[in-house]
Amino acid sequence: MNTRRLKNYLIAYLLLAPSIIFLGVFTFYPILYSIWTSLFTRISGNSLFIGLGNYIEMFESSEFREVLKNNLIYAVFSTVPAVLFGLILSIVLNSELKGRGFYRFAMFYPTILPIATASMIWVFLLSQSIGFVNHILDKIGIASGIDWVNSSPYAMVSIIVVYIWKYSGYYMLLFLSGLQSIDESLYEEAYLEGANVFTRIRKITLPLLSPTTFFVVLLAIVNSFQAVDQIYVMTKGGPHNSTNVLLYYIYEYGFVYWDTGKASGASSVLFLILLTVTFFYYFGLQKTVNYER
Amino acid sequence: MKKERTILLVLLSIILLASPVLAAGQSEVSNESEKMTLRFFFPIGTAGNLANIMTNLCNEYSEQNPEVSIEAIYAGDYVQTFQRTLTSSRAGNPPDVAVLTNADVWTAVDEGIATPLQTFIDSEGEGFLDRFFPAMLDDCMVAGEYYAIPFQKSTHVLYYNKDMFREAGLDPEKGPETWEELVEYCQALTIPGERYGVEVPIDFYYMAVFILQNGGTINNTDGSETYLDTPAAIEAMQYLKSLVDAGYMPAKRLYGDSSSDFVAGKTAMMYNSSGSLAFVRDSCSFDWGVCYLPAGKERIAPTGGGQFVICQGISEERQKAAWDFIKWMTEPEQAAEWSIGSGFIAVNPKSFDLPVMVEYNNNLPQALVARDQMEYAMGEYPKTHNCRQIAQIMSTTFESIMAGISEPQAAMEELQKSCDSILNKYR
Repeated sequence: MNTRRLKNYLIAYLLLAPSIIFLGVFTFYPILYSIWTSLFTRISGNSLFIGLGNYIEMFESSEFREVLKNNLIYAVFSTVPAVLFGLILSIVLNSELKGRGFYRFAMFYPTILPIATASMIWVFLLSQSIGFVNHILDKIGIASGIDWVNSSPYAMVSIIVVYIWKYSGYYMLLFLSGLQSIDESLYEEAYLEGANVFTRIRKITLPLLSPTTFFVVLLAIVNSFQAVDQIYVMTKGGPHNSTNVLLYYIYEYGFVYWDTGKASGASSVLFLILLTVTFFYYFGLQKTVNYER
Repeated sequence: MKKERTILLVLLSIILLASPVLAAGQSEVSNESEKMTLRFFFPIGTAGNLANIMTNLCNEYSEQNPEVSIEAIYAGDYVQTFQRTLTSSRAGNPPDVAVLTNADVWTAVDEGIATPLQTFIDSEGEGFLDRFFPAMLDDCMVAGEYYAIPFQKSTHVLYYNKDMFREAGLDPEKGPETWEELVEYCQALTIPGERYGVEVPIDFYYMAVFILQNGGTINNTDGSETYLDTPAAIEAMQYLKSLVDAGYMPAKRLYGDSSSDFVAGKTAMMYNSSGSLAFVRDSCSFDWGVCYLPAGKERIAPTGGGQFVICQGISEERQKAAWDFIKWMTEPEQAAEWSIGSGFIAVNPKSFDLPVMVEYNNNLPQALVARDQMEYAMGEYPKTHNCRQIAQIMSTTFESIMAGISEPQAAMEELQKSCDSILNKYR
């Protein structure tokens, strides 16, 4: 009996071994190593231990504080609309509608595009002099000659618009799969009882969709802290740092300035932020999620 | 039975995953024994079939020197090329030759991955460096010592729309000569809301150019100190800000944006790299010309681009072979071939006498303006330790001055302070 159990354990560990090794080598070890690296600074190719010096310098610099602020703005204003938009789209496109498949595809297709390509397309769409967006805005008389990616605060708006355009289709898809697991008969019953569309959404759809919403929101928040490619392509963090966010800051310090200490420090900060958000989100909100079906 | 199969499967997948690593280790050994293969990392800033031209050049070299073959490896843009050079050097597998931009040559030296070249230069005898335009050698030095050899260099010129000049009653054969004239020309050429008079790329490079033209200095030779809060520097920024305030110039453009604005007729003039000549020629529907950059207190033509670096951590024999390859690449014929294919200025003035080059310049006479301007040329600034970071905060400051977020004086003082805090550990 006991040997059999031991064997079972052994096999379980053996099967887990590849993923544990990979996680160890590519996740846990780098996390610890980057925390260690953040305690050093490099001068002319030599490492020098400076304790928390990098962190102190970072939090004292207006650049880093601005980066944190930008990231917060970006996270809030990209996550909320993208999730809401995805939710509304999914509810609309879950109902009986002519050409439903086409609309679903049309909304989903930005997800398939590589983000670098998508960003480049938007750079052209948003060009001040030859861009389609300004052309349309000018025609309907809302605004003219906005220098989207080159001036603040429009640069941030541009990046947020691209995020929403790129991701809401994906969130829609996730919501759709959640919606399809809700029992039709609940709606029928509510309908017979005289509940209107909004009451049905509020009383049936939203509560039963909450596990999906829970997951999508977490995904969206994490995504918004991982933004770097579209910033690299569209603005390079500019103008005057107004679109510089944490991950781009890390990239610049790490792989352009080769200040590995600062970059590692910023990575640790990002890691802490994501850990905190995930922790509170997970343990704080999980109780409100309705897993009943 | 079933369990054994699973275990077997797991072991098999581990072996499969590990095999590329093992294979990579083996191929390394077999290369070394037969003939010498030099690994050469090169960047391409602009698009096109430049990678093919480069491969052809390298093959040509191997044909003439059968004992050596050159493996030309396209490594992305300048930043990415340096990333690969540094990381492979750190991993003990450095390329033999790399083309790096000035800022990264400084970092390469600081990180100890670039070989000093003075002994090679001396071994060629007196006057070897005379084969290059003198200004191009500026970017090859770190704190007064040679670490690089010029390869793909460009200068910057003023492009202007001759049709718009005629329309505004200006002489289409003559661009603005001085800063004052530039203002007058802008006044005549700007149509508010429709087209700008001029576009200047707003980045560290042009911040340096305007400060130098105004008689200022960017940094000391050691690269440990900047002079960005001097009256000359502040004045230069005020001058450009006044162009933005008057509506003659947009608050922010970069090189690509400017070129597309220029060919679309959204600006009458632009400051841009000579590397854009071919693009402008192929995309313009109007009559256009180029001239020297307008002079401030001084006439200064900036240059930029990439230079050859020989890496550390390779055998002396390989370093010698690498030096020989570099020498060959900068002979008149090869310099001409690369110049014609890429649009960079040939680094060897003798190239311009070759028939192929004469023919090329007949088709693109504007390219000769770029060559003649080399008389006033200067290297790319800033030239400091942590150069990329200094450059980035210069760009950021420049942007915020032009956008009206901060006043020139205060912003430049702040900038100088930031530079001090970055550089004081090198003093």
